[in-house]
Amino acid sequence: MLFNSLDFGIFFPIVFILYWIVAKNLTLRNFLILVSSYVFYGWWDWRFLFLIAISSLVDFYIGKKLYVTEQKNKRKQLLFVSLFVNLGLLFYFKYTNFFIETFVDSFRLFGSKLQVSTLNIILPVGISFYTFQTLSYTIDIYRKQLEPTKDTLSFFSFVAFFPQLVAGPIERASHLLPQFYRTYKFDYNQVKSGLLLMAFGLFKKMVIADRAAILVNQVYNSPTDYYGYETIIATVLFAFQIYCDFSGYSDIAIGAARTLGFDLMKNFDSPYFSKSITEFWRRWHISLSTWFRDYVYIPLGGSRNGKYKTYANLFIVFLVSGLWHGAAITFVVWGAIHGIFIVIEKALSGVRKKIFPSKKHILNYILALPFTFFIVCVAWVFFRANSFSDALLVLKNSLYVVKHEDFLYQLGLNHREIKVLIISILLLLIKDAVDRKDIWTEKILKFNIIFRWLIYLALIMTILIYGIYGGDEKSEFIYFQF
Amino acid sequence: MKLVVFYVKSLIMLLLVILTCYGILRLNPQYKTSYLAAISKKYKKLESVKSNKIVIIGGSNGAFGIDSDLMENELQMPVVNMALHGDIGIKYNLDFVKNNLKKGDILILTPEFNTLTRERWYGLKGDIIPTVITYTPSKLYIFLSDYKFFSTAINGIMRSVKATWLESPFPKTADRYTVYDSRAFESDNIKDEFLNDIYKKDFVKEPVKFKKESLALDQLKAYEDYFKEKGVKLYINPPAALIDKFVVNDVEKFMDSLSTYTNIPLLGNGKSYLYEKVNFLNTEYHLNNKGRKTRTQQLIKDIKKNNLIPSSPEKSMTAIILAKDNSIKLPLQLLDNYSEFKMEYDYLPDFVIAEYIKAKTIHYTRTKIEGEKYRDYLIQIKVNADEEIVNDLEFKGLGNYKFDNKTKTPEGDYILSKKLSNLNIHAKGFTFLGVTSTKTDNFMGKNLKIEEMRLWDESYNYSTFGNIIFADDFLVAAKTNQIIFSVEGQNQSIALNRITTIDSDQKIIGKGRKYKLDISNNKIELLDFYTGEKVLDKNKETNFVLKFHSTKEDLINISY
Repeated sequence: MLFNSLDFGIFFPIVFILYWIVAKNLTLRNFLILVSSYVFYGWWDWRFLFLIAISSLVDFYIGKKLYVTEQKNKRKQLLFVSLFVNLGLLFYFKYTNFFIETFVDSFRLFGSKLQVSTLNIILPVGISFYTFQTLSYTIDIYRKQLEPTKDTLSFFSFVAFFPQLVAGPIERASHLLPQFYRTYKFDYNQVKSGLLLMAFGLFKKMVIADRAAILVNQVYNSPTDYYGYETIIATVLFAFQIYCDFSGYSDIAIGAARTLGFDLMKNFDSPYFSKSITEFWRRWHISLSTWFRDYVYIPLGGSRNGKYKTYANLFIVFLVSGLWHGAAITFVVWGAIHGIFIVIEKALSGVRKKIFPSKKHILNYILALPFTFFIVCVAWVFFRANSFSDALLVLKNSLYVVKHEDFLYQLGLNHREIKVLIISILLLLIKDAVDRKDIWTEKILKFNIIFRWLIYLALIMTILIYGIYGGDEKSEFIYFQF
Repeated sequence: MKLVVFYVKSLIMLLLVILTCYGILRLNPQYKTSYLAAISKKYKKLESVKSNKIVIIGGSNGAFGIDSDLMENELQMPVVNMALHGDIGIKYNLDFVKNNLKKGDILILTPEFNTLTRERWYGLKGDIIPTVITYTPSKLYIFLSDYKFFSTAINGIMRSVKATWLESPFPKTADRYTVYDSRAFESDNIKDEFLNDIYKKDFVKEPVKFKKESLALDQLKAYEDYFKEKGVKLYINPPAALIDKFVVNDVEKFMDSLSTYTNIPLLGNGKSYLYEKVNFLNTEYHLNNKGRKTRTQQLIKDIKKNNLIPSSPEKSMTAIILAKDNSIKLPLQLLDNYSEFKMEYDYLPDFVIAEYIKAKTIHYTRTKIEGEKYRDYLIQIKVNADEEIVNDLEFKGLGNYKFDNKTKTPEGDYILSKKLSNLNIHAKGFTFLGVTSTKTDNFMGKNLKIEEMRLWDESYNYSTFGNIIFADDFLVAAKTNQIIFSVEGQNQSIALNRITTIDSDQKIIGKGRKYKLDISNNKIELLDFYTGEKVLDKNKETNFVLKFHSTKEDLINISY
């Protein structure tokens, strides 16, 4: 079920009403969450519900076993089973064809004409997210940083919690799971703040991301036809498309959870105001970067084994992160670009401190911020392009200077659409610039009722009128495919 | 308590959003006159018809290509053309009319080739929905009957709100408008003046494939079952389409397969509804005036051919046979070669063109008629010739008979009358109507012109042709359950028992409505064509004048 669909518009109020009816009865409440989460997921394809169930079941029992097992080897074996099941599912559904194709391509490099056909596998929505979430549970228990839950219902609800099931934020058990042990009282302001956040998420997704997508798709789906400003604008707009698409999803997820009394972690923090790639990754998809930090970078040795090993570890993390995003060489290159710049920044951190003595130094804003955005955009070219060769073509074509009148309005969006898009992006940037603490919802709630209601109505009508929806194809969230 | 307050406030907010959306739509005059708003005019007519009727549903090929007025005039049965737009979806069309149909009604579905896919079954974008909510709220339940419908509906509402606001939030009504405007509709038909253009675009042939798995055949079949149980006859009529764009064989196969898989009988064949470009207005499915007339006549022909219209219990049918070219006068010696009788209304299936008799010694011409229902009819033949020739003429049926009556008209023509009851009807159910000359050799060099042959029902208090009055306009004055005819015009004629459009300032007559003058059983009644109710109020002493608009074509059925 998509957040930006009528299905969800009906589903969520029903769940909300039922939830607050049974809110005081923990078992009933968690049962409701589990059932509604399975309905939410099954709406897309009920056959894949069993994958979530298997992943939950395996990790629940392995967690329990790990806690009572003292033998190191036995513990390792148990962890291996959890890794095998979760990563096995992920590998099979997401990477099988990628590796078959890579295997065949490598043979072609040596002149061999190997004939191996790929498998017809459907990628279950959100598999990368919930497998990582359940993995963190068993790994934390293995590390003795977490006690396993004895409550099957809570654990299953934690894994399948519908607001963040298919595209995160990837929650840690230590943060989210205990919330399933508590009952909540209806908090009027919390609910209003959650709904506002959901509305803002829908604004980002439907008004900005899906509008930008029209132009971006036109250019990126036929990269041979577009040059210079056209490709540059498409790439810059893609930067905002993916940001609004993904952070929009996160806002809706956090908002929806908040209305039910749950607190999900922040996933984005004004990323395009970053003044380095390192900072960008502290602000972009925070739940994933911290996951990789805790469960990949640190186990690899982190920064404990000298600077070269640190560089290698950082680079590996970003390669894996690229691969996590998608089973294609373009995503690996995207990860590699970020990895390379992170390593460079790490290596040149001393020099940087001399040039920019303080974080708020003016040069940071004049030079570092635009440069970081530029690098991020170059990397986005690989992320968005349909193939590696397309990405190179887009980059090459961006270097041409082609002048023709009204080029901007020949890319799928008319004057009005462009105007709406630019104004919306500017509003978003202003909000990101002045409200890093994300307290705008609280501020609105303090306004007098007439002004507040006008804001609510304006926000809803803006989404309804300026949102992109109802086309022939459903507008899914980009991160659903990861 | 807080929760209750929250729910109440949420509902108020929802109401505010709905009101804002509704306001955006209703305050926009262009929305009120949109093409889709024509549904209200069509629905008004559908609702008003209480008697048995023909209802046509489908996409714009039906809206542009069927003239319900012409059908009503020819079929003497109310016809409601509900076809409007292909994107509305066939399911919606069916659901929209199903409660307005009763036993004995005929439902004709004329779908464009691409509107029967599963994808389009529910309608493509639901654009019609806001119009439905505004103009036909009683049909709202349709969207609550099915979740997919509901989602299409919401989608459609929001698309319309968006489009209305974005195009121009506060526009003025345009004085000039095109066919895509509800003002271009007169009741359920598009006005003639909007269908005058001829399509000029060139086309590449497009295949029409019958892909069973992608079509909503099961759903359509379910409706067939539903209507069968209800006593409503459902038919599929091929869409009017441009022959330049579609392959004839493809179209025929598609329509035949559609009928086979849904069990819904086909009215006509696909080929008959493919027309040349000169018949089209602006798309491959939109006919212009010329095309609309041709297509409607084809549909009438197919309806008659399939005997869809129940025969009237009264024998009031009168047929006219006109000479193809009544300027031709033939030497009597060549009378046997005179095979030029031609039906002016050639879609009357009972008649065939006169047979050609080669035998030189038999100087007669006759027209073969099939069916026994004319057994007690009166035959009247209007001829133009010298009196001595006329005196010699005999009626030629299965044999030679004397005419009952020969009358001269003020114009100098002769009306020869004969009652058919004296004749033998052939065992195979046919007979002949004609004239023969017994003394041909006496009239060397002289001519006979046969102008018309008419068949009159026995119940008709027939007289001569002279009583049939041709007029463009005539007035009827009515006074308490009486209608007094006062006829204007030199060439006067009254077409009776015909549906007639009547203009009147009197509230008693609805503007643009159709009425039927029923003059039978020694009384004259003005009936509402769609409801069958008497229009005159017996209890009111009302004097009023009605102005009738009639045409010569109305004379096809005359009885009183």
